[in-house]
Amino acid sequence: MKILVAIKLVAALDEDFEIREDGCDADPDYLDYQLNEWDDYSWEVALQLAEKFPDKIEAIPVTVGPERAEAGLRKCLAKGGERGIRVWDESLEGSDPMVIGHLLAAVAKREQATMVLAGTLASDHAYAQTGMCAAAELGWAHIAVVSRLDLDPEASEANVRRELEGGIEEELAIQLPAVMTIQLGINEPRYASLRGIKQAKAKPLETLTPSELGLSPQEVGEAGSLSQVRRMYIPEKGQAELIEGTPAEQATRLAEIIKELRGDA
Amino acid sequence: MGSARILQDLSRAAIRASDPFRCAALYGYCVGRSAGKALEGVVRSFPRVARDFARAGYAPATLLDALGRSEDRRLVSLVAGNAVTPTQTLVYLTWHYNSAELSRVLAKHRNMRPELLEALPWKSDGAIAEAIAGNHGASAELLERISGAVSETGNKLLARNPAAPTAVLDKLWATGDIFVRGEVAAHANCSKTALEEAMRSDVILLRRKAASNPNMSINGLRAMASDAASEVRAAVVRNPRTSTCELPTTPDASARVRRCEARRGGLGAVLVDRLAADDDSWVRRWLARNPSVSREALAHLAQDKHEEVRRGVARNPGSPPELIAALARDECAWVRAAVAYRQDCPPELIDAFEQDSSLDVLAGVAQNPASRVHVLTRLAGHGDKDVRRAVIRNRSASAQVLDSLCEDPYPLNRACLAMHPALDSQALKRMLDDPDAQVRFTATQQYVRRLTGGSVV
Repeated sequence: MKILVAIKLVAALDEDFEIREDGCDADPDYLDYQLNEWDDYSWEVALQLAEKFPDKIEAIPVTVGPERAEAGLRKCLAKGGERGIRVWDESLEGSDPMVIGHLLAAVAKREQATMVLAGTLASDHAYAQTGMCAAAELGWAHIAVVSRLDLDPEASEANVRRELEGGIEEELAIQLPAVMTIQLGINEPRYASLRGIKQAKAKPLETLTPSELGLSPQEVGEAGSLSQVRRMYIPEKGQAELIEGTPAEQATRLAEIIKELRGDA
Repeated sequence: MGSARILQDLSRAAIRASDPFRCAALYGYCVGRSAGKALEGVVRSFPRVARDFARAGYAPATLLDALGRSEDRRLVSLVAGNAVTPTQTLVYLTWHYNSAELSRVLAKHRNMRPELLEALPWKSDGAIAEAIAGNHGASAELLERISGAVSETGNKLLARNPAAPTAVLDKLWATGDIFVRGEVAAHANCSKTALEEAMRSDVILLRRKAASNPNMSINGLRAMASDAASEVRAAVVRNPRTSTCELPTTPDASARVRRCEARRGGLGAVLVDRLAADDDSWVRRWLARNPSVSREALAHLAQDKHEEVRRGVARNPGSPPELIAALARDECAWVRAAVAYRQDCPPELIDAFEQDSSLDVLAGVAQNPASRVHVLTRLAGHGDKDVRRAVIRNRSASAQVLDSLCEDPYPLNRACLAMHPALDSQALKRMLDDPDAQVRFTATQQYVRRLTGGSVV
């Protein structure tokens, strides 16, 4: 049984930054790339299952991105797993979550995977769509915001728990194959050992292009996307109040605000 | 191989690897001007890393100086705002750039010498004058001259500046709002007239500030000790000029005041007994931590129903061994942890703690310099990263114990380990190639310091 885990190297903004000249993204000069926090958790889910059923489950990290995205795959492989998959060529620039979902679905078919795990969302764009788009393309069962997963590789379904609004929890059985998006806190992700980091450098990374996955140029990039970023900007400041003055003055104003909010004023 | 040669090799390797973190750590120790330029070049070829160093408190002073001399205005501005930027760099920035924006940043810097602050164009820029008003390095003369050029916000900063002279404070007292006057009343240079006015004011804030003034007369403090407002009475108790003998034997109606009493040193036996029996657990909590409290009172507090009070006794340096031994068996792990951190904890108690299930207790044992080698060896292999880091923070940990932690999977632990003086130099050298940037930077910095004794080669 193969579990594909979709991972993403997300862009983290510097303390102060500028918007790119075309007004559609942050200036890359102010970006730092790191593994999406949610993906750490979903990779840990897959690794724990692979360790529990060593002869029956293989965990494979997969990413869609340029060469720098390999750092994310290596980070995962430093913790476990034997190989990774990266999908990219220049035609993928400007792809929306729908296209990324199609690509993940194509990889899942190629690998004959039984399960695809993804983070609930990515911290940079926060679309929270990629996993569900992959499920739609595959026609598989899908569950979002999973906080617990129990899986027996011999069984035809998995047991899943989700957190709902108001502190309610929901337990479900889901037919396999399936796609699930994983919530933070489902486990405690491990740190990679130094040996693991060294070994990961030698683990094979397969690079695939969209055409190798059967997707034409019209189906990927901006041409194949259903949404497009028109503008990215810093909105005008809201109603935040900078409390100034001496400490006593600041404390007085703070007390006033608290009273106002409580309706005591 | 001589240290100069080793540094040269390290620099070449860092440049070849295009590693901005190792280059930053080596900068200032490198041999020759061209090597320095090459190291700086690598750091600056990673704009985000260069900006991070320009604003970081751990950035080497020599690197900040180099970054401050760059053509990149954003980088220069970050260096100007970095609290650890050395004065020589600030001198350069003050004289080299003619920018109001930069001057405003420099005017706030604590390392600016008085003559540098004088050189800034504060007469033509109110924001610069305001920033100087809040700079504790400004001279009394300069503060006096700018006092007429600052806004209301500037006056508030001026009133809090320890260097503000009495003449300026008198002016602020006469013209300022209640908050400015409050700061004046608390100021060590406040005139006697203003202080007395504050003492007699109807406004609680002014009386409270006057009661906190380090020059308030003993008679004034005595008078304010019976003030109707608990804030004022609490400020009287906090004022070091109030003798503990002057504290009332009858309990104050306000717990706020009694909590302040419990924190005072040199408390008399009667007062301690009264505070130890106080209904307010925070009063007892502060008393339990008070090192001047007698053993008898501590023994009483060690029986308290509130675990934080018992923990206070366990942390109190005046607690005797028999009390410590009793608290080592406390049902609350947080209390036992306080015992485990004590350097005077007997070895047999520390050995017994090793079996404790609480991570807080184990971390205390791991960090305790009195812990024996076999205990530290076992805890160095503990599954919890915080317990292992406590071993690393133990200044008495042996090189052998530390060596076993060189491959700790948690990067912060390895970075802390690199700073341990007992870590073997060979082990430190192995960390120069660590996959984590933070670890490489720290290890390189420590390795070079050991090599050079901290001086530039």
